[in-house]
Amino acid sequence: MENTILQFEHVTGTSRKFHLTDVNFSLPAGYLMGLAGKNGAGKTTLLDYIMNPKMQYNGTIRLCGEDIRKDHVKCLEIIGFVSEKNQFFYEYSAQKNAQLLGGFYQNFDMEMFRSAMKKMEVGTGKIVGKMSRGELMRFQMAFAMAHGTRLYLLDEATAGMDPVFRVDFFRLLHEIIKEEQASVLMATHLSEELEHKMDYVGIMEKGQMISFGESMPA
Amino acid sequence: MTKEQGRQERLLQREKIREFDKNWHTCVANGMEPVETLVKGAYIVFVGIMMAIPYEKEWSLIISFLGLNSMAVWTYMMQKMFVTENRKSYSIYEKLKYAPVSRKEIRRVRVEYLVNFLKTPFVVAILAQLLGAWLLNHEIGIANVVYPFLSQGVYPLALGVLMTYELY
Repeated sequence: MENTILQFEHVTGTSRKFHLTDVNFSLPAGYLMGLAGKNGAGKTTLLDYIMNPKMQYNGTIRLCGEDIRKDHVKCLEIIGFVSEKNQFFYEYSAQKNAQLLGGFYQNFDMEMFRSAMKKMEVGTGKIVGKMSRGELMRFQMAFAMAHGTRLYLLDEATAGMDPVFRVDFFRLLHEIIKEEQASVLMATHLSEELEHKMDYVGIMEKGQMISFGESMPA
Repeated sequence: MTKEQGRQERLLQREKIREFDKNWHTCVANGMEPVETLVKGAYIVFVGIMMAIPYEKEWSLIISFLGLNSMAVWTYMMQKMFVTENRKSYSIYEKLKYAPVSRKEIRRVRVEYLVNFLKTPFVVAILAQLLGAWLLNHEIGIANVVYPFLSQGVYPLALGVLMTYELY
């Protein structure tokens, strides 16, 4: 039986602002799931529900079987978040950021970070604030790879990457999820990624997941 | 998770936060330690001088004293609570939003630093007030203990704790 890494069970937001409505899906270990939808459909909001402990909702979000609200800090240990919203120290280098923030993770491995940065073709001495969007996403990916991540949350991570590197990036993602029995949930606009790169696709509209299932290449 | 495991977990988090603060603060305040020591020394001297005058001799000093403490606590806590990048300030909570560390423990560690910062001025304030009362009034009353306790203990601590809740 496959392990389920991420499970949304009838998740409905309770705030007056834009929220999710009755979202249900399961993502097993070792698979890549794409999250599609127009701007404002709720893709980033869904990722927020996982990352932000202050989100108020009915229903349950489970990470490796555990309700994330029971111990959100422990859940963050195994989540790798790659997004423009992620916070780093922009005046310091990638290496310095890894030293500062890696200390919060029990399983952070500096050697693995350096080796991942090499694969991502970003120098560890580069100042984070001076990185291009693509480099910033790749740095975050390397950081996530270095702390025993089981669930990678990627928010438009490949926008800004050159097409050649994008092919390598997906090859690397598949290697990671196979070796580490991890899963990837990726919000993306790019239809060719949804059609050809994902194992599962969920389509969001107005905060609801109107469709979820295995990806069928055209 | 048992109660003991939870407690160990929280202690471990606080240790990680202190380690982070050591390294981050070194980056931010590189070479500023002697200046910090000088400023803290000047603050303690001011507290000693102002507290040496019994409050009933000069009531307006109370306002000045509260003003001094407000400025000291504000200045001290701002450097623990904010990161400045490209001339903009970001809350430390914002910077560590997605790190596996709880806001509650970050706040607790900041209060620890605040208590350490206020310890010496607190003792100096009580001793100075008692000495001043004895020398100038030739008598020591309970108010000569309550006044420094409240103005150099309770007030700055409460202000600092409120700052950790970002109530400003």
